[in-house]
Amino acid sequence: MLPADQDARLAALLLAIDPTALKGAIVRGRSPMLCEQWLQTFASVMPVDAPARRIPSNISDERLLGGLDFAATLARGNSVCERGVLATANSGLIVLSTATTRATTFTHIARVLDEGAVRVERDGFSETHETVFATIIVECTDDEVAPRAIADRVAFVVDLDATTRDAWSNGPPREIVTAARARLNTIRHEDAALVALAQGAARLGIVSPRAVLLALGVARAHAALLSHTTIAEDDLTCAARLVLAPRAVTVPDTKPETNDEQPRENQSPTDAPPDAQQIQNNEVTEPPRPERDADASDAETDAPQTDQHSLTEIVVRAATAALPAGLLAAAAARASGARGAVGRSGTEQQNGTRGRQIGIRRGEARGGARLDLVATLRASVPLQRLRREARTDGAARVVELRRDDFRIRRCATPTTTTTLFVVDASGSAALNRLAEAKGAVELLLAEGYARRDKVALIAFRGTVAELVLPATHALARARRAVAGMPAGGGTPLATALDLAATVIQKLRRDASHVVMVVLTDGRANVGRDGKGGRARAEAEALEAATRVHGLRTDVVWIDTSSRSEALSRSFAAAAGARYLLLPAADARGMSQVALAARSA
Amino acid sequence: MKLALTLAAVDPSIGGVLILGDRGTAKSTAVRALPTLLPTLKVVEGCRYGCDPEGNGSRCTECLARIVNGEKLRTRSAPVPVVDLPLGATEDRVAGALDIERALVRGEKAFEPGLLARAHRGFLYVDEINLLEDHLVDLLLDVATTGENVVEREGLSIKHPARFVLVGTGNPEEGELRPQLLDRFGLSVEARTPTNVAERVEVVRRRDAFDRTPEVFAERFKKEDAALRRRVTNARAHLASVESPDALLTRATELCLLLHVDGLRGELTMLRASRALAAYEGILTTTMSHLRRVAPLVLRHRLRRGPLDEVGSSVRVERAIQELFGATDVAR
Repeated sequence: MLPADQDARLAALLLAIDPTALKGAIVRGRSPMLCEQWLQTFASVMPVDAPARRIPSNISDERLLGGLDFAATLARGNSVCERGVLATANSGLIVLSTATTRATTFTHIARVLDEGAVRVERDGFSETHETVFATIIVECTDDEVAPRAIADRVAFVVDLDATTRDAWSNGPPREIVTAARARLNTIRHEDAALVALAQGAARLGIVSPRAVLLALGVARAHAALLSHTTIAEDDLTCAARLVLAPRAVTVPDTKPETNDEQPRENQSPTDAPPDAQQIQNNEVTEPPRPERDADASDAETDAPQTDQHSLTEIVVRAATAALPAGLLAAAAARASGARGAVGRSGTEQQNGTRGRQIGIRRGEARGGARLDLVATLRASVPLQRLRREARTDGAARVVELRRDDFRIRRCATPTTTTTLFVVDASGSAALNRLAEAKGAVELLLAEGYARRDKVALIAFRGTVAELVLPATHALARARRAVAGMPAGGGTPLATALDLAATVIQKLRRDASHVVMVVLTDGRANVGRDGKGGRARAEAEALEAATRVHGLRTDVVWIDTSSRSEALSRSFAAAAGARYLLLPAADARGMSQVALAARSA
Repeated sequence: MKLALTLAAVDPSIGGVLILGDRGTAKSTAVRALPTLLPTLKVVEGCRYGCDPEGNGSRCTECLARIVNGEKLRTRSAPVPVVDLPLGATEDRVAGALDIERALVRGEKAFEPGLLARAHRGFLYVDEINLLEDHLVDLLLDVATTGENVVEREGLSIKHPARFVLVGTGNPEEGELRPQLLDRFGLSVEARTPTNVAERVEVVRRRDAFDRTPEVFAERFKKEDAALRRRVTNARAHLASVESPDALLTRATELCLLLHVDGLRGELTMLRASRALAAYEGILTTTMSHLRRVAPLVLRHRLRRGPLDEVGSSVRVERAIQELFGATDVAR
């Protein structure tokens, strides 16, 4: 078994032991089958009767949270509240996919995770449905990342790509989990353990206190699994590896002051027999404190300082050992650079408006309008008695409906405009007028703000194009992203346009109108494969531009070179874009062109 | 954060409190703690809108009708409402709507009051306020401005008083707040995660204790809570007698001018907030120290800002304060 296999299996076990504290997991894997497999493993260790609910991507708030149950209401003659999916998932699990789920759905779930209950203030009901469930979020593609609000709340990130399937898919018998659950409340922890986790988190640059809380929960569940009575060292290393490592943003500086203790990061916790001797020792040196002592403000551990240090060191080492090499590099870059510029972090969809119901109005369900049954019946309700009494033919109807009662949903029309900036940050552009281009982008952002638009930003240089900022309303973030954009390298124009086309298609799915603004000097010299060669790069860029044209989106092509070039113009023409030479237009003129493109 | 909420508890006329901050900074937790600090309220017995027996300001139509009928209104005491407005709430529950059950069973047109009615004279709390749907924001703005809720739907025509302190929390990274809504808040604070490990350990320790044994936890802090509540009650009692010297108002105005704050709400709120702070500290005259402490809360979200600046610029306010008060003028 690889360590990754063990972790995947362990995450399933621990989550099943304490879903209340650990909240859930993000399951990451390129293959949906693999994710499905993990779900089955997880379900096999959950209690037999635990409900499992899949949340469809287009679920309405009504179904998610609950509301009026019309059939039952009419049948019984008094109003009956139907429980939503989240409430019916109590003591079970819910499964969502990040690819399509609406941002508001995640927001609702985050709230329910915090409160352990669904608050229903809908359709005339004011109720609280208590519910605790494990939230499993499936991420199958790279560009769909769980919103930060959720990622912060669930304990685990299970990366299945690094695992071998057969190794973890056979979960241990359910009884082990049941027994561990029963032990959970008896597990105690020393203050030193908590301090070690908190210090470890701080060293790894983890800001959210939730991480420490979740780590403590994982350590506790792990202790229950191994029949420890007190949280021991290997419980802590497990928590550090599973909870702290995936959240690390800085590479800890390993302090040399403690080398007396053996780091145990690679020890596999499930196979390790509990080190009875160790626990005994700990209990002797520091008796477990009951919680009520903790309010003393000087509740610092009275264990010798070196013990605390070594424990913290163990936590940090365990977490560091679990960091993949690439992540370390990225984390180091993030730590040194602009914090807000890290893209693809997930909150971009927070204000999704696809088919969002904004109200109801009188009318009939024609021409695509959807009948709002609740509103229709509600409209008819006060008149039931009168109508029944007015009926002369004596026929008994459950509901007396009239044409006047029909109500249809008024949905939010897709009026969001997303301005997608594709900014050339290559060496040649930097030489030309990158600073001015940045200024222009800022101005366009300011215009966008007035109209409450979203912005997205693709930057390209060297051999790659990157979605630096996914569509967001947070324009301040966009500005930071632009300001902090480094420059230099070749001009992979084709790659950038390809990425832009993908992004546009995705935004279209969210019913967003896209205006694409390309700022480049058009000197394409890096092909799709990342190799140099002007002729091929130009041909590919032309092809990519044609593809963008095929999407029939509004494109503004701003040439940032000092004088108009035929080549740039031909790209613009291929993309069906309005062409504008930056020197000819100051930033303001440019924004006007972009605005014109949008209203066209 | 604690200071802002306490001030709002002492003097509701300060306006709402906006708490912005990163994930996991206990924004919501702090607001949920509000009920424990609040003294009880006298309300008209049997009034669905929780009217004030003194009739200060306005009464609901039902109470008025009862007075006209010569009925003597009895009073009872009730806890100050802290009403939670979840994001998924529907408009009918917020504003109130036709009581479906009564309509169904008895064929009566009756009004079922919503969350706004329940929050009257108390607090209305909106978590993730920056994600609240626009039509609900409009509704809140209307009611917050006029102090009453007007319902015209489903053949109902109802008006009832709804005056509440709006408390909103949110993470600015997840979306912007509408300027009109921003302006409604009297105070704003920025919640940050403690960077000190000992503090963080204490946060987690307490939270863990609370999660595992809520009763024991509540018992532990009962005394502290009661003391706080007494302090707020006393502060409310002598709020009216707190004097503010003219020099203070002058200084507040200077500060607003220096920061180019639009409108006069800044000065007014600063005055009220410093008075509430003085009352909370049991002092009968406001001092520059009070003003200095409340100024950042009052002003940080009122600065005229470029469209791309982030909400709340504590730094700019701090700088202006330094400039006006001098670094050593008043100890913080």
